[in-house]
Amino acid sequence: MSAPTPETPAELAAAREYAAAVRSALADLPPDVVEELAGGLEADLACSAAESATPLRDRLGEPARYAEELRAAAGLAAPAAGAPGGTGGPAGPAPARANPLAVLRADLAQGWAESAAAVRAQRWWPWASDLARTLRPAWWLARAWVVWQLLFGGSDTTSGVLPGSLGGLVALVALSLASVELGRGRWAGRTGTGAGVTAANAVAALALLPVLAAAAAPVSSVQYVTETGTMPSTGVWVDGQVVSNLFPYDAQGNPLTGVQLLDDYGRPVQVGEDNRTDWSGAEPDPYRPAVDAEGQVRWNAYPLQVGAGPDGGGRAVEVPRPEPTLPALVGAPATPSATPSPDLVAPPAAAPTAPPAPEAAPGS
Amino acid sequence: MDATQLLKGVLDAAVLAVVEHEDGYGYDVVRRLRAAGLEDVGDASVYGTLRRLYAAGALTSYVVPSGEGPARKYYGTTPQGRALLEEQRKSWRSFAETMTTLLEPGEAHR
Repeated sequence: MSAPTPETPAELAAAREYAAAVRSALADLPPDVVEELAGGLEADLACSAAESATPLRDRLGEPARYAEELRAAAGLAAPAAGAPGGTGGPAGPAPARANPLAVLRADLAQGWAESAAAVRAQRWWPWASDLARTLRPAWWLARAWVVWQLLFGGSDTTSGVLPGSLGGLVALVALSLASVELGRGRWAGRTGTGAGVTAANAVAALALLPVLAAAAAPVSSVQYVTETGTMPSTGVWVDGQVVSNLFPYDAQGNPLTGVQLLDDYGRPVQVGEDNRTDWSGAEPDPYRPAVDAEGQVRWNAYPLQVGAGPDGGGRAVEVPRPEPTLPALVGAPATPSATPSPDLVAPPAAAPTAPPAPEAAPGS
Repeated sequence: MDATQLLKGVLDAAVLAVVEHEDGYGYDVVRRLRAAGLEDVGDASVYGTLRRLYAAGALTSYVVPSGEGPARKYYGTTPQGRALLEEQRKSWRSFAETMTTLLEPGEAHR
């Protein structure tokens, strides 16, 4: 019906000038609120100017008055600064008669509005709010997932993060759809949705981190860890297991007894874990040490023998061997001998001497 | 009685009513209201009301560029806005009936 009248440059200029004055009267508001209030004002004013020869100021009054009317009609409070009898002034309704809860609520609302305005005035605010708007769909999905975790996460997960059953998957998809539809404002206006959504958002935001932490933890709380670092690695180990006895054979493959072993530093090679001290008390150590001619206890004479008695006491006897004999080694002397001949002794480099002092260590 | 005082309470309904069937930009809405008989309506009051109804979800808004001039901001109703208008129609009718009866000269009220 109302085809926009084309405005003259003079009318446009007048409209721009008046709009600028209105905007400056709204300058105490955050920039995006000003834009919200005065956006399109230039076009409307130009239209108005084109209709009549009367200057805008005469028809519409002072821009400050106009801004005040705009602000009031939009439901915004009058400017706090410079408003006579404004906040806390004596002109307002007697504060003592007001409901203290309502006063507190008003104070909170004003404090919130002021902080929000201060944040909006920051230079990074447009960037940050734009980013937040862009990321909103991600939040819609995240909150659906959190709600799903809270409802079903304890019973229906394989990995702890995603549903393990078809039913769980359907529930998650349904929640996601509901959350996105809610986020897109499809259900806005239904009574009670506003407060409900706020509450659900708060719950989801608070629960996000705990739920994430719980879901990221492994499903099974039992873990098998090889704690090599904390266990005493004494004794002799084969394939990760502690060796409890050694069975020597000579070059012909015949079993040997009473073979004393030293390592390359000349230390006695001792099997078993804990220095042969029975600290557990649960099961007495069945093995018996050998005793040398000087009366020294020798735990490095193999195979270790056990006591013949029922409790490991009595005469020491040999334990059954895993193999009675072994095939002879190629090039071994034909005559079996329980005591190695001098020419078979290890080379001098590995001679059983006292543990080396640092300056005697080879290659240093 | 000052008509602008009366208008304040019903401006939302009036604005919603004039954009119910045809979207309009700010001054267009002012013109429609004036053409309908509300000559005293203030431009700024109408613009502020449009912004508030938009913020409340009762109106949609879109910007239409106009040649070399400034862009116009058009407004139209949302389902929520139409529901609000329907509600205000009802309460206006009942209020108007009450006031008409009340202000009837003679013995209408005791």
